Amino acid sequence: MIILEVTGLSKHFGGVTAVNSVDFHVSRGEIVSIIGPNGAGKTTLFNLISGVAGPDSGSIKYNGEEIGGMPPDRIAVLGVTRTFQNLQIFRNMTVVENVMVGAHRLGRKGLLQAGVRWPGVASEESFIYGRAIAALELVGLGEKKDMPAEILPYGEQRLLEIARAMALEPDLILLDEPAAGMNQGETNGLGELISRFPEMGTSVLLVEHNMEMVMAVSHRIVVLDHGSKLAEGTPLEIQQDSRVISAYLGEEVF
Amino acid sequence: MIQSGLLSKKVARYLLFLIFIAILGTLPLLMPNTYYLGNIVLIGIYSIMVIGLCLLMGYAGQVSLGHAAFYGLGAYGSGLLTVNWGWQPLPAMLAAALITALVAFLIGISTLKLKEHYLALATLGSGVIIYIFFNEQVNLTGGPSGFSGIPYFSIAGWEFGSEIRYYYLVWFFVLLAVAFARNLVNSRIGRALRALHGSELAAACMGVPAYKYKVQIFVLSAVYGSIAGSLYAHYVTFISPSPFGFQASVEFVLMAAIGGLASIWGPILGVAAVLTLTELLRALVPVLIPTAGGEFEIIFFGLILVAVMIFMPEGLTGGIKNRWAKRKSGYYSGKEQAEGPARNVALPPAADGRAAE
Repeated sequence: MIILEVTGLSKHFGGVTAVNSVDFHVSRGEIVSIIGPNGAGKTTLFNLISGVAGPDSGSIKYNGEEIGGMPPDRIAVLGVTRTFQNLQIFRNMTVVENVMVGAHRLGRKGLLQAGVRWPGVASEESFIYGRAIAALELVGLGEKKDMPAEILPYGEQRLLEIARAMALEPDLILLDEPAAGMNQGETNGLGELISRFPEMGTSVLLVEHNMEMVMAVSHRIVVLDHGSKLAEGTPLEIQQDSRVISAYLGEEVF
Repeated sequence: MIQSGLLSKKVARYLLFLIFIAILGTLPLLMPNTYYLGNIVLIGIYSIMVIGLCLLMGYAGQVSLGHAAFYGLGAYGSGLLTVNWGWQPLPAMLAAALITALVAFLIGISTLKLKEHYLALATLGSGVIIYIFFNEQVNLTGGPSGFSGIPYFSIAGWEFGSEIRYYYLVWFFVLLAVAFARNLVNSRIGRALRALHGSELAAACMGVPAYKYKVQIFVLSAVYGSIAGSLYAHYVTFISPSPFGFQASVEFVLMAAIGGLASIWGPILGVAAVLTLTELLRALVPVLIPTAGGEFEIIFFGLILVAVMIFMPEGLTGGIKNRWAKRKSGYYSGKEQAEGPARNVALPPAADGRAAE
């Protein structure tokens, strides 16, 4: 069953075509990676799917519904969320509060109800807190829940972003270079973690430069070059694709 | 360890709160005369206003330089409804709050798409417009000379006519304002607002409707201002436009900044500091510099604001908290390194106190 279907998607910035008529899809329970040299349009593609930017043409269908051009908060409420390559931690909040924001869509109580502690607010709060703790334990940050988020080391801030996004119980998570700045041990742990997402009901779209991890976790890989799709296939097919190899010429990637 | 730490913190907070209530309750009995009590009533009224402003500025990170206008709408709403239409003070206060909410909503939906300086200017402009309205609608508001004869606040015929009664009335509202704000800040909506302050992009990608919540908190803070304005009108029983102009807006921001923007108790401290200082300067400056004009205190406030921003950027509450944290030799660095798992040792020294709440 297809959860995300992208067809003919394009985005231009002035004269530069960042994404050029790209087609691909993600099926439920799949881990799909998007790879390509720097400037291939990977982050722009993520911005289009998550609603951070609007497409110029083409369509993005999520569970059959067109989400291209929707604002990010509506897309998130539908169940699609993301992490950021350049970290976007809420630095003014604690670790667990960061993750509780991720669980925002699981609550219903509004401003006035919160202000007067209307019946049901307390139980909703403890539910959200429980979700956040579970998400923190998932990524191994449970013990740091009460620390200010900004004092976490870099690698753990990346994990915090993942926990925050997973607290939303997303159907689809977009991970933008989650392993950047992590050492080998941390990267391995991250790969194992991501591999478990489908069984939790979360399909994954991954942008990552660490090819070892991409090859280990992906069910399918889409290769972008200069905004266009160059190839698509299983990790094995991609490793043997001559066009991919020449696009990466000079780089020892596989 | 951490659990018990939190628990004792909670108990300490509870005790502090009880002490605060006790002081509040007995203060009027200790006051030598009603002059001081009157000042504490004003501190209470301004505190309600500034708590609302802190919700907007400190937590949601949105600037308003026109908030005195909402304070004025509350005052004029209450004054007009009670004097011209013979309403009871309490329904008049609620109606004024409702009108203010509507005005703030209209201003909010049209300005809150703007950011930072643009938003500051737009709110400043809206405030000026409302101020001009107070001045020019002479038939309705009495124009620059204002209007008098506003009755004392009363509920079901029980009049808050004396200084002591009004003191209890106002501080009851302050406690309500604090309770509501605290509940809000520690809720799903409050976290979403703080998240907007931290990273609007990330908050949106977590499903937080930024614009909607900004408008809501803007309206709420305007209602705080309106309630404060109503209490002011029934207290002084005479109003004119001058306390609701641009300078008042700036003074409220100053009080908020000095107290500490991202705090609930800070506003009370900030208001008390600024009002006390104003009184002191009024008494001192003419003695020290006989030729100084009335605007002299503004220069002092400018200097104080600069000093606070440099040395205590989180205001008095944040600054005091920091000193306290440093004296306790750093909660995070020490404790975590001792108890945390080995993998987590590589923490930066940090804990410069930005932790806060």
